[in-house]
Amino acid sequence: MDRRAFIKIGGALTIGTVLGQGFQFYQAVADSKGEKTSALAKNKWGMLIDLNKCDAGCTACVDACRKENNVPLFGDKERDIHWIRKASVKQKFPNAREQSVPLLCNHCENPACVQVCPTMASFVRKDGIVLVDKHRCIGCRYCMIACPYKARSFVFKETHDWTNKDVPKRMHGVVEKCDLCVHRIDKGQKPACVEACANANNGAMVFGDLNDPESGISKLIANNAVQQIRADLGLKPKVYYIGM
Amino acid sequence: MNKKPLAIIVMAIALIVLLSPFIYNAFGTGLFSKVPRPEIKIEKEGKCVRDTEYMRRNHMNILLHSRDEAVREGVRAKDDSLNNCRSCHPSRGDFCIKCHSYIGAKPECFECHYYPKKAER
Amino acid sequence: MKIQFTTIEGKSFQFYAILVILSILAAAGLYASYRMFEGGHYITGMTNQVPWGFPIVMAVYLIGLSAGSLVLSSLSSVFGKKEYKVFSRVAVYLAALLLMAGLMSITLDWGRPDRLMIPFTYFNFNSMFSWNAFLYSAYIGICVVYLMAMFAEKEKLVTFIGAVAVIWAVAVHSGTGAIFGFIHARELYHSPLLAPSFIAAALSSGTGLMILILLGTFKFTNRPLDNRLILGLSKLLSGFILIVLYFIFIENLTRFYAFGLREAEHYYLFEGLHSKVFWIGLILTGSIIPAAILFFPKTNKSIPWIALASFMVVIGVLAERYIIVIPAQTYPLDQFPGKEVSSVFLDGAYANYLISLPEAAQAVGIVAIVGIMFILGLKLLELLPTEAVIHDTEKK
Repeated sequence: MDRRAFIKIGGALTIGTVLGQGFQFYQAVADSKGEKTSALAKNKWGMLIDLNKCDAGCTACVDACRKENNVPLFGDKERDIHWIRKASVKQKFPNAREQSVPLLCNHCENPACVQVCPTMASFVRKDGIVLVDKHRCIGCRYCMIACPYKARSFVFKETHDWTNKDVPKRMHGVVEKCDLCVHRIDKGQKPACVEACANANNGAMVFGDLNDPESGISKLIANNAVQQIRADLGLKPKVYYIGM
Repeated sequence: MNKKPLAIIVMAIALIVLLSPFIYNAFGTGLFSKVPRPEIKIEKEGKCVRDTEYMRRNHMNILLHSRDEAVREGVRAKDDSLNNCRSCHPSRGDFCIKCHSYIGAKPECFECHYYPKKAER
Repeated sequence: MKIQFTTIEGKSFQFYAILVILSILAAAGLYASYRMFEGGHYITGMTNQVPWGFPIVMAVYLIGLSAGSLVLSSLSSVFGKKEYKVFSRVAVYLAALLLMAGLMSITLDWGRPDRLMIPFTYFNFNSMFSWNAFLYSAYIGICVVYLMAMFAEKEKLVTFIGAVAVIWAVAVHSGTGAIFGFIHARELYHSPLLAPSFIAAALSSGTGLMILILLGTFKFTNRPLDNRLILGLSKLLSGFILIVLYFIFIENLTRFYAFGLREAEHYYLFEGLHSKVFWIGLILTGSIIPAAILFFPKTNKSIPWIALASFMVVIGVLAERYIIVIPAQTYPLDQFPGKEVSSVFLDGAYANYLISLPEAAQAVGIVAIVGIMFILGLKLLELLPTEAVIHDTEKK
């Protein structure tokens, strides 16, 4: 190879790399600026769970979620998908009382999962719901590493359970989690777990708009000793608990 | 050692392998006669959400756009949704699959989304 | 005196035998990847508790080897060690190959490797993965230009690109370390030391691999190799081993000192399978024995002993990657500090992870692909010098 040919090819490669990367940056900046303001922005959905009203033996919220969102069980404890689960928590003290705590995605205001997602498949919708765009997820599972609440599950296997045909079933290879029943919220309904909890006559779960100071949830948060899980991590979770 | 003849032979073989689908279609069983053009049955005649010609070429773009709007912005446009397709084309087998298998397109929509293969009625 | 670089002949029976064996391994690995892609990841050892398994360990390891190799290649051009010019071409070529192998390991581990282009079309400024996609793709470009400058024998250009390459290699591997170090949720990941200790491990494993590659290729092709070259590299290696040990010591001591982290640290060091990998794989095999070999005057001048030490370091750094990636996931997330948790989703329980057959096959397959590309590169490109001899006159 003579000098001229070398410089030509080398130069073309370098310029190509630089231009290509530059274009990416440009597009990313343009994308983030071009976001539309939408009607969603006026709400900020949150949830409050009163543990004093939560019955340890009741799994109404979990069952309703599985049915509503086709969340499958493979019969393999380590690979089952959980959107909401009930954990039993107790102090490390002899004869300590066991408490049953429903755990779900906290829909943080500063979500660690969204921060690390390389494709922006995980994102915060304008009304504060943290969602996974499964059309864009590449299945790298970095979000599962970053989430301190273990809210996310990987779909290890294709599923065929399809109890609710309005909601998609699953194909393997993407990450999923609680979406606060976004399809119901858009219709003006409450999440399935909240509804099931009320129907089971517990009423431990309250769903509502945190932006509206007159909403039921805002008043409860203002007038009770509420707690969030691992608030110290600075993620600003939007699921509050009474009596933890 | 001169390697030119060898290189030409290798390139020729590669070219034939690359073009084999076209060659097969063109000369294998007569020009484009292998697969008959699909007959499309439309259950409910009438107007689609756009012109027929536009829909033939761009239905996937409409679906992609409405998909992103629905998932990311919460805008659930009723007209452009997959569910609305079903109101006139109730089965995937009679409508989508025919063309898709003719041209060899494999959209992934129905791995997760509900759209029956046969009309449910 | 000018160094002559030539291709190898590559017509012997052994040459083709190696190619065939490596191809079989590669095919087996790709088949395993295909099964993971087609059927789902349930066939691997990965779970919802341990979402990152051996493919990520391998990816980090291969990227480390690559960064180490690229820094070594610049010893002659940037740091003025002219006697090391003999292996600079091999090192750059190997760096490019190993990085591509690392990327392959990551992408084949994705749930949806068919969506390969999505990270390039949507860019998240906050994600280390996005930054790494940028750093890695430019890295490969730099390697190619660097190699072409070397083929063209353009001294000044080589020095310039060599300097860029060193900086870029450090950036790339710091970025790889930051993938883990930036994670606040898991106490065994969250550490600013991960980035520099990744670079130290990259240098030691890269040097070890280079010693093995030089000894192997020169012996196999019957070309003369000066022992002083290997001795020089082995001195570098002994230094790098100590730096790696220092980082490990500081990091673990810090965690052991803080009461809040002591439970996690106890788990890290003394419980589970990974603690055996730590003590036997990293500390004993990867650090103490090779360091002893390289510092003990009776063994540190003997080529077979140095080769053994290099091999142990290369294995030991793989163990280091394993104990960085895995235990932080098997140790339960601390959702309720100071309380006991249990649930059907295995909250608060120690998780298990065992490398499954498909993951192991995929890892071996990827290494085999590197091997194939490497020996084909030796045959097609002028990478290897006819002789690697240090001329005493040259040094003055």
